[in-house]
Amino acid sequence: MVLSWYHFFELTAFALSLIFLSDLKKFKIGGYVAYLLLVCVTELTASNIEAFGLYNNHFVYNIYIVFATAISLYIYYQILDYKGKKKMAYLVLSILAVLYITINMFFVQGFIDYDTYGNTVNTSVSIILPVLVLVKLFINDDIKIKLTDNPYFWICTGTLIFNLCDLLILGLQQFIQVKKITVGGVMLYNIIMPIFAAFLYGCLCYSFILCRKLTTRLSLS
Amino acid sequence: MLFIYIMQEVDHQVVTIIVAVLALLVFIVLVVLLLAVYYSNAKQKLIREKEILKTTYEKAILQAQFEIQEQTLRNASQEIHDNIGQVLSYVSLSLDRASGLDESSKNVVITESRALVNQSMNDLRDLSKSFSLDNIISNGLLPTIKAEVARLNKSRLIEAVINIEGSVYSIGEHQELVLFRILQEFVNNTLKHAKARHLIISLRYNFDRLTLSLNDDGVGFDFETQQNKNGSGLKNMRARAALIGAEVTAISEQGKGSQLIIQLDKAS
Repeated sequence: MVLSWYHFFELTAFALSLIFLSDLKKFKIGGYVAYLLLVCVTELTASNIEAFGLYNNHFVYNIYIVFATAISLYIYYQILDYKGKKKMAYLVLSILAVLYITINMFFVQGFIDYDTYGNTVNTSVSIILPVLVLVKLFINDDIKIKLTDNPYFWICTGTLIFNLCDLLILGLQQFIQVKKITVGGVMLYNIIMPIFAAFLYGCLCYSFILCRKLTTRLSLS
Repeated sequence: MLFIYIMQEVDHQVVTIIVAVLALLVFIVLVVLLLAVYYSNAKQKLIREKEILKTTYEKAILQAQFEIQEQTLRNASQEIHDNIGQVLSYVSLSLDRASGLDESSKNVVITESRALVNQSMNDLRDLSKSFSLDNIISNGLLPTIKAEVARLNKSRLIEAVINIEGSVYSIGEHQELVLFRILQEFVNNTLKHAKARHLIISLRYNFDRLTLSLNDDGVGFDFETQQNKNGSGLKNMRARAALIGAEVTAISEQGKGSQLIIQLDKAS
């Protein structure tokens, strides 16, 4: 079984989300348990495709994109806590996004090829929503917690940076593949993305710890 | 060989460009986030400072209110002891003495006692009114100062006059409360230390500014010494004035009396 170094960050984040589940729920981010479980299962399966008798890992990632988008939309729905028309618009756009990815997987790009359209939607969602949360945090005067002490800040920072890089690298993916651009015999994607993955899951770990700290502090005060 | 070398060179350039673009992207995002953190922290600090200021202001207003009430009670107590109490004791003694007098003398004593009791009743009525002195919110600054002047004149401790210029307006409940407390402090200091015979209270209502001027003809004080004294009355008055955004000017010289000028913008 292949286990890369950045998998430890994912597994640690998943373990922490389970340990601090009750604290995560208080911050309305309990959905991260499902999300990180999906990430761990997907990454471990994708890294060990031979064991599952698969030719490549595209199928695994295609399934991942559908569920990851749905769970991400749910998590940010909870965090953003929109009301009225905004809430309705968010729900409609979320359903449309998930439908688009599902239809694309079933009828357009299929299961075998990597669903680049689906991934673009997923990545875009993962860029736009953290930006919305960060803006909300920035303009909100009522929040008593410092921005850097806020778990949402670290979640959004990690997600935003990871997905911006993901979008850029994936945009160049075909070019990289065709030109066979490698560094020391390793595909560029496989060198750069693990670094950002480690950053993302490190941020998630830190935000879960902050959830715990803040819950303890609030219950004490 | 040359082709492979050129291809490797191109690969190297592409990798460098991709990595540079990525680094730039991450750098820009991090700068934006750091700026957001900086401004958010600054904003929170400002909010906290504003809250502290608000609490301090509310505390000071409450303190001023409390001190005015305390002063009113002290004045009332003094009035009962020095005036009403004395008069009633005299009446009591006169009536005791009257039992042994003849009819005509008795009538004189009774008439005199009745007059004194009536006077005491009037004094008590005035005193009862003075209990609402602290309630500047309902009376307004000017009637409260006028009542204070009347009380001072009645006490014969000092001869007080009030001058009013311009059309009277309200500068706000809290501001009036603090101004009255400053006036009380000045009067107390004058009575305690100045040995003054006259006190002039001037209120000038300009279009955009109210000026309260307090003058006594007492012994005055050395300005420098008073300013350096911790917890001195002058320091207190300045602190209170600053609270409502008023400007204070104190002028005094040994033997030439004291003057305190408080100026407050109508809008503040």
